[in-house]
Parts: sequence; C-alpha cells; structure tokens
Amino acid sequence: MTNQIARSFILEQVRNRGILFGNLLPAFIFIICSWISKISLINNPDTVDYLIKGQFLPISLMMLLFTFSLSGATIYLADLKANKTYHWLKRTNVSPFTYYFGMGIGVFLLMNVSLVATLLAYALLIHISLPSFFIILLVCNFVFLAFYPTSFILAGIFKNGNVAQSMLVPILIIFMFSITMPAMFLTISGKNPQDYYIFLSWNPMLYLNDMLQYQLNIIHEMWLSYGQYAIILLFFSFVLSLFAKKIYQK
Amino acid sequence: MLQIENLVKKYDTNTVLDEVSATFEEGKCYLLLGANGAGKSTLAKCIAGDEGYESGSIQWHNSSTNVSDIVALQYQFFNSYPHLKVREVIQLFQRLIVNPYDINELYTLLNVSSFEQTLIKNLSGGQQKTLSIILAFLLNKKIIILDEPFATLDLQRKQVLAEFIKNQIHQDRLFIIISHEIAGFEDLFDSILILQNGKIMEQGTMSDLKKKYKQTTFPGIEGIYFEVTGQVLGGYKK
Repeated sequence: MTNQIARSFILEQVRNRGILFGNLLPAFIFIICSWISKISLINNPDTVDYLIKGQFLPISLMMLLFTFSLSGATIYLADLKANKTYHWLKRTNVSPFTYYFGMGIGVFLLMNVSLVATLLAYALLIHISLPSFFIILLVCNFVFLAFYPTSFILAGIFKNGNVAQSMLVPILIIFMFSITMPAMFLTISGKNPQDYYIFLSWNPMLYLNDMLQYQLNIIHEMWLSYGQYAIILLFFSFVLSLFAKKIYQK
Repeated sequence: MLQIENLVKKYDTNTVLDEVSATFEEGKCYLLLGANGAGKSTLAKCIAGDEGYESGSIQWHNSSTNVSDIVALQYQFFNSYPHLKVREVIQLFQRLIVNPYDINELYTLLNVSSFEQTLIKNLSGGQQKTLSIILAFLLNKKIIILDEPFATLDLQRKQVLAEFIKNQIHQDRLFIIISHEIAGFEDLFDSILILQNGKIMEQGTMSDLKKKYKQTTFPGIEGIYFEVTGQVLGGYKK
C-alpha cells in the first residue's frame, strides 16, 4: 500500500514539469555558476574552492531540501485538501498515518536522488570525501524529518496549492537568508557567526549549514556535536508532528 | 434499512434541510428529486458523513453504527491527482481498499479503456464523471449514492450504466440516485423522494405515486414532480 502511495506521489511530482523544473532549477543554477567560476578563475583555485564550498554548494543543497521536503509536499497536501481527495480517501481502508508515511517515502526518494546528483556534480569541481558525502546526505535527511511535518502545518493553513506556492517564496527567503546572510556579514566583520547561532537555533537549515561548512573544511569546529544536532532535529520533528496533526486535520 | 429522522441542517441561519425524515430499504433504488438548492446534495453529504447536522438522526438498522462507513458517495467531478493517469488512479484505489469491488464489467461497459491512459487534468466532464462512478463502485459499500450519474455521459454510457445499476440492486445494495435526467430510466427507481426548500414534499413507491397522481400534466415522474412542486424538472413554475 505504501509503495503504491509513494509511486503515485513520485509520478505526480515528476510529471508536473513546471514544478519539477522549478524545484531543480535554483540548485542547478549554482552548479552552472560553479562551473563558470572554475573556468574563469582558473588562476585562483583557492578562491574558487572557497566560493563553491562557502556559497554555491550550501545554497544548492538548502534549495533542494526546501523545495522537495517542504515546498513540494506542502503544495501537494494543500491540493489534496482543496480537491476534496480526502472525501474519497476516508472511504478507503488506508489510515492517515499509512498515507502520509507512503507520501513521505516518495518525498524521501525524490529528495535523495536530487541530493546525490547535486553532490556528484559538485564532486567534479571540488574535493568531497566519501565519508563527508554520506554525512552530508545523512544530515540532510535529519533536516528533512524536521521539514516534513512543517509541510502539513503550512498545508493546513493555506487554502490550496496556488496560495501555498506563492506563500512559500517568503518562507524560503526566511529559512535561507536567516542563515546565509548573518553568517556572511558576521564573517566579513571579523566576528564568529557561531556566537550568534543560538538566535537562529529555531531554523533546521542552521544545522545543515554548520555541518556543511565543517565537512567542507571551511570551519574547524561545529557549533554543536552531530549527536546534539540529531537530537534537536528529531525534537523539532516530534513537536512539529504534534502541531501538524492538529492543524492539518482541522 | 437506512432511517433518517427529523434531520435539520443549517448553513449559518439558512436552513437547508428542515426536519427531513425518510426510510430507505436494501435492494431498492431511490430517486431523489428537487430543484437546485432543494437540499438533495446536502442530504447525500449528511448520509455520507461529509457534512454534520444540527439535529436528527441517521441510523442503519436502528443501530448506532457509523453510517458513513458503509456509504459510497459519487461526487459530480473527480479532479484529484491531476498528473496521474486514469488507470493509475484506479490502481491506487484498488490498493487502498482491502476488499475492492470487481469493476471489470463496469470498466468495459463504460469503455474506460478508451481514456485510461489520459491524465486526470485532461479529462472531459463526462470522463471525470465516469471515473467518479467507477471509484464509487470500487469502494464496495452497501449504500451507494450517485449524484447526477447520467449527466454529461453519452447516451450509450447512460443506458449501460442504468442496466448495470439494475443488476446491482438485486445484490442487496441500496441505491440513492440524485438525477434530473430520468427520461428512459423510470423503471430503474423503486421509490421517489421529492425535496423542496429543504423539506420532503412527497415520497412513495412509483406505483403508489402513480395511483395518487393520476391526472398529471406531464407523463411519468416528471408529471408527479410537476404536481407536487409546481415546477418542471429544470425550473419552470406553474
């Protein structure tokens, strides 16, 4: 049953060319930017390396994570509600948990395929060790666990997929730039961004960005340990799931 | 037996169903008639559990069983899963239902194979209706409520669907059909309920009502409806 639900979700996402293109484009634009930088700054390899590791790669991964685990799922769920699909589903024998689990598998697969493809593309430009490759994937999946229930909360608030799509743009900006901008400007002004991370600890992207910078040797120490990151993200997932159940069912 | 007693449904201050009482027996087909806004679809949604109600009761064999669990309601349109093909949607529902109804016969009769590879978003109104009917039967429920099943279907599909429903009635299912299109299908219905402004104005078996309304302006059910409501099916007032 879950396989069929996951398959249906993947087919819907892949066949919706506009959404799929929109999901992949931002991440792949930065891959293209990285290639151009690599070619045009051939005499400055350290600069290119720093540019890709510090900016292009993290933004690509954050964009992919956001679009697949939050944006795509939110629009899909909002449309299920708007199209009255639940009137049909409630008469079948599928439980809400099974349906959302199957859908989650679909999101998980799509997200990981695109993440692996993106990381492989970047691995052609910069050195990413195999352990780093898998740690990055693992942390991305923990962030996914925090974002997936958030998509139910947002889908519960927005009337349909179109409204959700337009509202997800400012939400993306908040999630993305609340991490990248302070990190960049604090570094420029000679301050340690990690001193201010406590104020951004509500944002799951923070943990991904910090881990990425560490794995790509931009920083020498993470703000917290992997275990603490895992616990925090699982806590987010649990608490958000409770809210999601109430808000989406309502 | 499905028993509805003194059902009251309001949207804000507007009373859509006003003390509606009716009894529906298994193995029979009921026609629910009424002008737009008479409360037919709302009554169907209340039975199916899609809408709550202010007061009254809906019971199955006098038990407190959740009636909505045994009801399949065919909605007028199906526009979920816009990027799936018709065949894929049917396969999905076949997996989601533990004991799905064998729809092979209906699949052939309604010629679903002619558009089974079409994406839901590209379906015509008639094809959406056909899929909606297929899914309603697939759910394999005791009570099947069909909302305008004949509208937008082509003539051939209307006729085969009516024949199929007749055969299903013999399998002890209870059918409640909301339809304005009744010409040619009158022998399908065992009983008629006529709703007007949220109230049941008339109900009874076909034969009883034909005896009661002998001298009608129009023949058959349309004549009975005209005598009861002063309207023709479609809106003209006497």
